[in-house]
Amino acid sequence: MRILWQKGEQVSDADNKEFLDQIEQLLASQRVGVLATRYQKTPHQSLIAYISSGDLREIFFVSPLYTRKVMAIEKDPRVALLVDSRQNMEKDFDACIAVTAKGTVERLPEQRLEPFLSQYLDRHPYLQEFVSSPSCGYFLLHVRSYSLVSRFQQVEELSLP
Amino acid sequence: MTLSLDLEDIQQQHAKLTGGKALSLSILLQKGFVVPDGLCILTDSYRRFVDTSPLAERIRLELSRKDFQHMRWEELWDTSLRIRNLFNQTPFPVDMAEQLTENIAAKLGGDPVAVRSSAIGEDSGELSFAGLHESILNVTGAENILKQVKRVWSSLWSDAALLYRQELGLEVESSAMAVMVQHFVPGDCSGVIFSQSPLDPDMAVLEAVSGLAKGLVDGEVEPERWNIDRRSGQVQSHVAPSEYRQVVADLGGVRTVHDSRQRDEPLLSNQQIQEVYTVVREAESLFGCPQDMEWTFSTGGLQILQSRPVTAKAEDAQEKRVWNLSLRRSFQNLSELREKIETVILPEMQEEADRLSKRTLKDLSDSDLAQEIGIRRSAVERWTGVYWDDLIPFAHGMRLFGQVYNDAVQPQDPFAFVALLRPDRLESLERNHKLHDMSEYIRRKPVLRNCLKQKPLSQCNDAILTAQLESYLEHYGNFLGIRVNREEQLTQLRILLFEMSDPSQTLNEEQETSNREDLELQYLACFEDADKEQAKELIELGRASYKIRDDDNIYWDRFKALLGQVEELGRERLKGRGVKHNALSADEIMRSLQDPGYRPKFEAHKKRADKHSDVNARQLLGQPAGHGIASGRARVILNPEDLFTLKKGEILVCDAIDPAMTFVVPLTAGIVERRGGMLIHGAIIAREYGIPCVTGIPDATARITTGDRLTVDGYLGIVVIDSRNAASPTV
Repeated sequence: MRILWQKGEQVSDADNKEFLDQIEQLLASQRVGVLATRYQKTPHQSLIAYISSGDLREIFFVSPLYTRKVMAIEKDPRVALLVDSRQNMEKDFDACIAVTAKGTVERLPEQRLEPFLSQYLDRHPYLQEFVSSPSCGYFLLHVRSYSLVSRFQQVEELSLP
Repeated sequence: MTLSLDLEDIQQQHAKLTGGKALSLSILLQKGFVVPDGLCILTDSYRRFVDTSPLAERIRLELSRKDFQHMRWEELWDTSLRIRNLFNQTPFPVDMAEQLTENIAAKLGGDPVAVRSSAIGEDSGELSFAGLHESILNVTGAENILKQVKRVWSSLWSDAALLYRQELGLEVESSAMAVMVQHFVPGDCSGVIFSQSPLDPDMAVLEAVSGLAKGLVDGEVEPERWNIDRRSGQVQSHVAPSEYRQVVADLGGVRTVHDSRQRDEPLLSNQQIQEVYTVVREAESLFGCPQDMEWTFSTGGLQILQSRPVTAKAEDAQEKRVWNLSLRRSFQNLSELREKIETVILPEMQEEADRLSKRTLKDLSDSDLAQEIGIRRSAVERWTGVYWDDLIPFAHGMRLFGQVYNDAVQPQDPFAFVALLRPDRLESLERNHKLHDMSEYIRRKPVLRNCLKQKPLSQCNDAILTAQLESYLEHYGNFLGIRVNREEQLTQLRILLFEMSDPSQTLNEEQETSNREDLELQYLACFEDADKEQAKELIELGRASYKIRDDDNIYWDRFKALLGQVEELGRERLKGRGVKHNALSADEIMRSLQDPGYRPKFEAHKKRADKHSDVNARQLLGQPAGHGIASGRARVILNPEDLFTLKKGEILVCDAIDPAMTFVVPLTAGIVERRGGMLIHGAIIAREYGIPCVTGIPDATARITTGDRLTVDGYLGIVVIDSRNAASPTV
């Protein structure tokens, strides 16, 4: 495993840029990821529709408040989000890439929703009714690190400063 | 992208872009038949409209809310209304609107137009699905025409189309609709002709009405009919209608009015009959199969509005879907139904129930009691028939108003109109007020409340409460028609009132109606002055429909209670003979009373629904029927008696709430119902009390257990079940 970007380093490194570009492209190409949380000492995973910020430091998502994942986040805000390019075909084994973003989730108050909410609706316009529901909450994942799996078994990791 | 084609330019290879209706008209036009000129907005335009907006995915989300096999007709209607609202809310891409406006103006100028559906596969093949989609007449103004195009597009997903979704192959990815925009022809008389009768291959059938053919096609106006012998071309028989009405063009639409022509005057002359018949036979030769043709006579002579193959109807008359479709009624039809219900049905129900309840039963001989059971059972059966034939169809008044409201106001919430329908007085709410008053009385008297906790009412020595309870039972009959005697009814009421009068709890109360007037003004402001009166009439119809939907159940329940009363008396007498079984059917009771030697058969007890597998539900999706969020313990109602075990703050989980059950609603924190729909009784009453409500959850009572901790999300239609935190049910 390579550590590409240690805390305090600049992002100008060419390797870092390639790595970050890959992550950016993957996050931009997909709409849904798998959010891993922990609830009552048991792992729990859910599909979420997300958007990521241009600097890749934040990932925004919306969830009904009375769900297992929100209960889990309230108890332990540390989460991992897996996004991948699987197509359920044989070539996935070499062509698929998967990114795991790890960090902590914060529930956003109304006054901090913009610009996340409008960008979220640009990406997922069919969710208008869902995101407008008073029973939904808005969440921001502050990403601490990314790991990228490609070419079947190559794993690279980057900690964000 | 080509958005539209002029009618004369459509060729066979355009069939998938124009739909069959437009193609047939184009062929007729090109062969010299007289057809109102116009253009066809192609299916590509539909595709572009839904694909360049979030509409396609939003339709998919609506359709995936529940398995279609489990959807009731009301739920299909709700789904359809939501989709219709999505189309209403979605604007045309600017360039598309500009190009279509230009094309329409170039072809039709500023004349009034008819906007007609032309769906792919609608009128071809062996089955006919005519009437599933909308056509709108007498539309003027570019903006309005485009608005109506969206409305016709949305009818691709009409409730009727959704009923036949499988046969139609209706899918978001592959289905599309073309729309014809043609000169509107204000016909003097119009109709339909079958060049070959579906019932008799030697005959043609011609039907005609005054005014527009819409009256005939929608089934609103009874036509005059001629049967024509295909071999000779001569009229063989003529049937006049029993009443004369017509649909005519009116400001911005059409209206049904009385037809003042003389009864002995046939609508069509012999020459006109021959003209229509000749045209349809020529079309039959042209297309190579018998034709079902819509036509009209106007100042321009005979014009063909559409022509399609005569096909077998898609429906089997016995099928439930046919009854479902019969629920779609016009304003005129519903207005007549309202009058019948208000002036005949409900008064008769009340009068008969009053008469039956005054009979002195205790002096009846066993044989006379058996006869009385028979009389009351016949009454229940008769009124049940009326309930299905007239009262349920009248509920469509709410739906009709909802559609008009949404088309006019275009609200974000497609069910906002329901707030406008709330009447001043609902029978079930009146009943709840009486219970509320009694519980308040008990609440103020701790000694009385304490006594009621332990002892029967008769031992609590409170004459006022006793009188109130007697009057209550007299007026509202037996609770739920449960087979219990009067003593047991009083016990149930005592338990309920004890719970309701808990001084530490606050009962749910009805919501204020303050925004009803605002909504009404907002709605009326959408209409031109000339149309306001009709818009008001429609509100009144919607309100009557809303109210009667509630009240009729109360009246109907009285008959069930009256039957229960004599059945119970019969059982009591049979107990005296040693027949001690509570599950005797009415037939068995009657037979046993009439024949002392008869040994009655017992009905087996119904087995309670068990959890249907080891798979536990943690989150269930239904319809958001009452806004709000509530958490509490589940109280699952498997038998009517279970209602009396409900504690304040619990979530009521049931198969279907009927008005007889709503007495517990002031105690519940939320409602979960298997039966789906936004306008069903449970949803209406939940909104009246501002209680979160989710409807349409299949197997709700099997998948949720009393004591489960539930969260009811009445905004998204989600029920979260936390069975791990379940409490032991308190009974």
